[in-house]
Amino acid sequence: MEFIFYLANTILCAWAIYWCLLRSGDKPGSPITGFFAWKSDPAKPAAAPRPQAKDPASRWTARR
Amino acid sequence: MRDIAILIVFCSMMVLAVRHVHLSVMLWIWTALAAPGAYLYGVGVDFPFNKAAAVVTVIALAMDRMKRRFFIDGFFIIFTLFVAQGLISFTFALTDMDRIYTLLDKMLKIWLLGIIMRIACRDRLQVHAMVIMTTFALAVHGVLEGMKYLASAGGHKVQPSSFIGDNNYLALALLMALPLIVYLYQQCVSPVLRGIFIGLGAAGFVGVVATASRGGLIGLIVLGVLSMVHSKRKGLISLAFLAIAAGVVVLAPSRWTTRMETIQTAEQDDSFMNRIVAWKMNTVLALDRPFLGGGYSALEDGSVHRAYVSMFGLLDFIPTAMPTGPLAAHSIYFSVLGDLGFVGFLLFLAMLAASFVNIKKIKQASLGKPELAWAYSLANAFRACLIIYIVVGAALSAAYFEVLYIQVTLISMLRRSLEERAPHGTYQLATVAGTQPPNRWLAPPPSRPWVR
Repeated sequence: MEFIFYLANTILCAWAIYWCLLRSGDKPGSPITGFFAWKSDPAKPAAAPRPQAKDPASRWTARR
Repeated sequence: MRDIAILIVFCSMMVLAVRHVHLSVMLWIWTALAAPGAYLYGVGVDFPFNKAAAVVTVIALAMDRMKRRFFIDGFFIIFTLFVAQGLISFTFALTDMDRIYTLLDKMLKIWLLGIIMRIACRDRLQVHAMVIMTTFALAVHGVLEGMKYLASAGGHKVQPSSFIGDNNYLALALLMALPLIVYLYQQCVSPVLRGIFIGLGAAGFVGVVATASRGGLIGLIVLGVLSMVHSKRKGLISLAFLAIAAGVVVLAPSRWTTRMETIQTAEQDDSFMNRIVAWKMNTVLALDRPFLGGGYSALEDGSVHRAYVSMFGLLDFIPTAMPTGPLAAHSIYFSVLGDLGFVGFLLFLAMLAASFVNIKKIKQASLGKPELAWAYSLANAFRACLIIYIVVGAALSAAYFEVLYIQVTLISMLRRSLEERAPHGTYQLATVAGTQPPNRWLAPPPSRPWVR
């Protein structure tokens, strides 16, 4: 069990190096480069678009 | 089997890291702090992880196409003088023990790593990556020891890897990782990664408790007070702090609470009184050799110790028993004082002061700028790490602790990166004429003649 945690941590560190390599090569936006991204980072994965709120006024306009 | 698994991952890390200098520096930091050899039992035990990382760094530096500028600041000059003073003290040392060579080798490696960090790393991506690497490499020890402690219901006796030292050093290393874990938790966007940082923070806290170090308990109190001072929700943090403290007192085994209660009766405690004797011996040595000191860990040598016992009466106004045998200094301040004399001691204090000045400058540069809020948070995290170091280190021989030197170099790099920041909100990078900088988003924007 101890070793599994140590290995997992090592793999995470390897991933951090890989992430930094991809970012240094300017390939932002993929899930891999987004994993270690920080707030306001341009390579942060794009959030899913929010569903548009229903606007009663536009519905009324459309019906007319 | 476990050796093969770690070696495979390490080799893939080397293949990745050789592409850029800052990646190889990350690998070097990992090998220095995670101590992979300590967790292996076969071929990996003798594998020179640290040297391999250093070789990869040199290759990456030689292959680097970027024209990188080395920068010198006040901190680096003091740090270099401190290392040079160590070299002079080593030359005229009173002892010829193996340990003096080990410590000199360690300090020279740290200095070399500091130089390469200054050459390789200059922007937020690189600083962020280094902070992630430092945190993971340190926190893994806390996770492993904390889990064993919980699984054994407090019966596990912490025995950290040889690179860290004893339980007190492990407590210090984990305490210096906790503020960075909190910073990364606040900054990262991935919910999975935030969950990992919560786990690392909790495990790190349990790891500090598991060490049963009284210095660790003092460090936790300092960390709690600093959290309250920096937080906007002081009431909530105070309540959380009290709840955690109550939980520890109720759940910790009686062995732990008995050990912690000895803080109140320190004057009758042999361990504490031995520390005062060691501090007095180091002061006596520094008074005798104010410019040179005795060399790294000189007083741990029996012959040097016997030579200075006769002068112990110089400090009789502090009542203690006579020293019975060679002792480690048990304090960052007295350790440097005895090893490197008053000159080394002043340089050590100046180095810490320069780091606090760097932190202050970072905070001044980022105050009131939302795009630099991260730098402000990171400066606060580093300040917490340094305060913990100077408080907990007062009773530990941790003057030559790698974690400190990596962190103070990162502070210096962070200040430099903010100073190089162009007015339009990007970072300037030194590039070979005609080539693209490695990060498009870090480069200055292209000229737009049509924009008036």
